[in-house]
Amino acid sequence: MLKTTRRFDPANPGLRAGLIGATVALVLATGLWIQQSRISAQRVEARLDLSQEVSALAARIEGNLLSKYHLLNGMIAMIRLERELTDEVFRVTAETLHGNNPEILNIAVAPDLVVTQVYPLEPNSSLIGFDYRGSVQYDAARATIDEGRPVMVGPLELIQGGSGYIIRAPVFSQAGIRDPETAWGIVSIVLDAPRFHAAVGLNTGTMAAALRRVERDGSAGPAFFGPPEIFPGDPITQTITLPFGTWELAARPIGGWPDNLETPWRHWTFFAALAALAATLLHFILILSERRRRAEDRMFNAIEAIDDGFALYDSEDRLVSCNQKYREIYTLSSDLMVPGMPFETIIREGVRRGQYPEATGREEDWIAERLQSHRDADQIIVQQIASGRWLKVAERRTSDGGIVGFRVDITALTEAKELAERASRAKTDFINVLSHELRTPMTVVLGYTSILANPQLFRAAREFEELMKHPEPDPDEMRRRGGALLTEMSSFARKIEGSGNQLLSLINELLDFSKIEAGEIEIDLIDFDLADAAEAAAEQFKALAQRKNVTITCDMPGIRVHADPKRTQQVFANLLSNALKFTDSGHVDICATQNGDIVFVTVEDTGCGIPAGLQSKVFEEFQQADSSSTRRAGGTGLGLAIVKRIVERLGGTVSLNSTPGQGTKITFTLPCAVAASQTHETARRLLA
Amino acid sequence: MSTTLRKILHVDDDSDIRTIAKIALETVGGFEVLQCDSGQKALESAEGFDPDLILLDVMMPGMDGEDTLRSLRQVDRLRDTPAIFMTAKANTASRERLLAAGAFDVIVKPFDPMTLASEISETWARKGGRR
Repeated sequence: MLKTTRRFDPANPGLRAGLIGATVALVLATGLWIQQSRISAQRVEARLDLSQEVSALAARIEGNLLSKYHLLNGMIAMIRLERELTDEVFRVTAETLHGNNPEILNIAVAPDLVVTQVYPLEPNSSLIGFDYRGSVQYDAARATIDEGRPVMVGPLELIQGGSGYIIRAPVFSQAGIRDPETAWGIVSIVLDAPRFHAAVGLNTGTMAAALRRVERDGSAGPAFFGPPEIFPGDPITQTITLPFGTWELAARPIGGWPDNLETPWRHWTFFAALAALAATLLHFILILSERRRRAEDRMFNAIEAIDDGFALYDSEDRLVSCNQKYREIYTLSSDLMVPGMPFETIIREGVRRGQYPEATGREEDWIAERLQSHRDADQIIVQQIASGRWLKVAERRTSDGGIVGFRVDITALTEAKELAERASRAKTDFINVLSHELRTPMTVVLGYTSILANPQLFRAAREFEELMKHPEPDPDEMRRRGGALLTEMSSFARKIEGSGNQLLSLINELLDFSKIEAGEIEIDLIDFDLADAAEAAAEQFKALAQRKNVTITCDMPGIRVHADPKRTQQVFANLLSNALKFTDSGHVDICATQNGDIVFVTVEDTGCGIPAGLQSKVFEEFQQADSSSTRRAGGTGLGLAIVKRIVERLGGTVSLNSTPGQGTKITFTLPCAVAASQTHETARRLLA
Repeated sequence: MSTTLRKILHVDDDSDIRTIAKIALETVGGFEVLQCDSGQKALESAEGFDPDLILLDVMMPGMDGEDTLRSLRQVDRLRDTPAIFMTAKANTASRERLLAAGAFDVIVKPFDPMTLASEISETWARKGGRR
């Protein structure tokens, strides 16, 4: 679980190039978007600026033309006032109204549609007598009268040459009565188109403008000034309402609306640099990411490779990761080892499932102690798990508040330690027992020796010495006291001899075992009668058996073995010694049976038996079933160990069967005699 | 503890050692000695004998020296009677364990019958008693 599926691999060159390319594209797209935004802003700004200009222009056009309209009205008023408009009155009036307005080419009156007066006369004198009737301008002039309102036409080619606008207004005899039939005529003002355009400010500055009329039905007429393509080109428009119709003014910047930045190279240089920087940064980030990934992989692989369990918990005590070994150790709760699982949950569920035998019977206390040691994370604890294995649990805090833990399997170490401790205890016990077994007879030897060396210490000697002080001791009394003295001294000497023999036996046993251990024991294999060895050994213990009222029996008629007779006798002696030590009454039976090439020998007693838990130890060196201070029998504990080693050297095996309170039966095997084996083989062949 | 050492209760399962100790304590030391061959018999006889000192073997079948001492301590008259262990186990751990069990002193076998009594007297005197 340590490694998770990787969705992105920075080491993949194609993926890396794609990612860098996408980043560059993203930066450039952002540049494009910002460019468009800035252009839009420029357009909005340009439109705002131009709107103000267009409004001003419209106002100037409207003001200019309204002044001309008022001029016409002034002339009409004068005509109505004077009725007979003399040349002088007309001239004075026209001159006043004209006011040296440079765009006005002339002011003319045409009673009954025939031009009679014009100002200034020069260069317009040719217009005198011009009759609208029959001219191309008749319809326009007639329309003015018929509609009863001023009409402005143009620009058009003027009779007197040039281009101009003509504003005509009808003159009715009575004000307020617009009767075409009684119309007096018309008055007109001719404006020089270029001058008018210049006067109102058309085609000046940075603006391109166009004008067109809006018909009464709302439809737009053709442009009469400026490029017609301005109108469909998203212009700023302004409606100009005049007494002689409605105009629509449209304008746009001379170069058109902004469709690019003022300094696009600077914009794109910036974004190109930004894209390059982003690509470079991303490149290095990917390299660092790859290096980090490799480092993590190395670490993860290393953690997976170790033989110990590893787990990492975060500062909230939730599992971050663990290696497979960790899961294998805690088999009963391995399914809980998933990232995010709280440590307490893992422990609690593990306890419930029996993962921790030492928690049995005190679950809550154990959990509390375990959680505490886990959170302290400053000690090493030893833990046994359900599989019987022993773990060393080492946990430490990480710098970010997490907890890292190792589980080291110390089962072999623990077992070896226990074995060593057991061996050490056995040796200590053995030394204690040996000390006791040596010092006890030694106390007897030295004690009696000391008493013998100081005859005043025992009564017979003192009494004999007292008698000898007499000048003429009684010979009978001397014989009696001398005999008593000798008897007591002899008794002491026998005790010294007995203890000496006991010491010698002990020393021999130690030497025997030492030789067996060193492989120095001499084995002389011959065919011999097993009963000879058994009976010889039984004879050694006859006196002891009689004292303890224990009967020794031998039942092995005619059985011969192929072994070392001296060592076989030693085996019997050790087994009998052992049996008699623990048998206070009853019997010790030695039996032998032959089964094929193997002779089975049993030494069975009716003693106290050996507890089941100690039976496996009795053949180990330095081990006694009972080495306590209340043991009822002496000995070094080497007797049965020597038996086992000798029997094995003779090619046999030893086993034990004991029931406490009933007795012990020790069985060992020996190869049957070679001659018997051959006979047996022959018989087997014959039977086959 | 009694200031005069006069009577000694000696407990040991080995008859030869009892014989040697009796000579050493009675003949050489001049003490009045009662000997028992087991802890159980010591319990039966000790109160009536009212010893000044108890001399105990350690390894005995049935009831060992330590158990015997613990049992003797249950008897009111023997609650504070000094006890000396005689042991054939010569190691330090055994000695320390016996002292911790309340022993007055520990004598390691084999002992010299000529000096056993004086050794016990010296220990007795060192602990504040007198002969």
